[in-house]
Amino acid sequence: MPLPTIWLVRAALVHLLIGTALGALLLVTKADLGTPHWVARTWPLHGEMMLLGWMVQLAMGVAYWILPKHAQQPVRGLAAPVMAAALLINAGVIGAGLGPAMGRTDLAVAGRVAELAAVLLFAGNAWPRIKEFGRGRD
Amino acid sequence: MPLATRLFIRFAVGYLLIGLVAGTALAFDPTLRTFWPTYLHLITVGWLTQLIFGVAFWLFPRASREYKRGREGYIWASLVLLNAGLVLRVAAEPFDLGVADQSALVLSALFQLGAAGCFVANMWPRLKARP
Repeated sequence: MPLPTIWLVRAALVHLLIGTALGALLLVTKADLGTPHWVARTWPLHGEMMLLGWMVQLAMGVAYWILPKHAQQPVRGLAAPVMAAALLINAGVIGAGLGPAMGRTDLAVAGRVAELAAVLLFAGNAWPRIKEFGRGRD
Repeated sequence: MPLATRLFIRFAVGYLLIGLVAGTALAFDPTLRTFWPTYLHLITVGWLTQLIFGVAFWLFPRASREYKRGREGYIWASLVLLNAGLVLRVAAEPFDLGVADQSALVLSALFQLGAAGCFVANMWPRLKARP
């Protein structure tokens, strides 16, 4: 398993844990047990962590690992842009999730831009690898 | 394909069907809006997350010679807790059943969090570079 995949999948698992913990708090809030008011404001962060942080990030990590390789080195394409994508998507999820909770539109927009940049970097790596297995090899 | 994976995927397909039936009912009758969060979680947790759990347990690298797919007790606990948590959520979230409803929601929250924790405990040692 390549290093960028390990980074992306481990970060996805962290998002799964924290996102589920936030979701559990939100569900307990519905039970009217006097949970703090700030909990209700965390639902955008919960959604962002579960959708982008967990599912999208996991898919990016696994795709980098299993998509068909190039014939020449580096066989999975350059790792640096994918590592940058990993940093950007995690920063983006935090910004886009915390922005609405804090009433900070600038933070939410910056988070979305970081997520978009992450996906563009990932797509730049994955696009040429979307091909038949073995094509391009002698 | 290991037994736990087969069960995860069968449950996942079941939740997808139930989720789509709930979604169709929501489209027909807007007064059922209280079902919206339940519908969303049937699809995202019951279908997507459960499918990921099953396939990852099957296909991710071996943990060790001794524990080929990691400590399997964690994955069985995850399967039981995830589904018990979702069933409790579906039974309690859209309705107002008083104390029983409150207890079910708290238990559902704890079970789903436990399921995520058990899945991570199984997966984490399996994420490693090939020697």
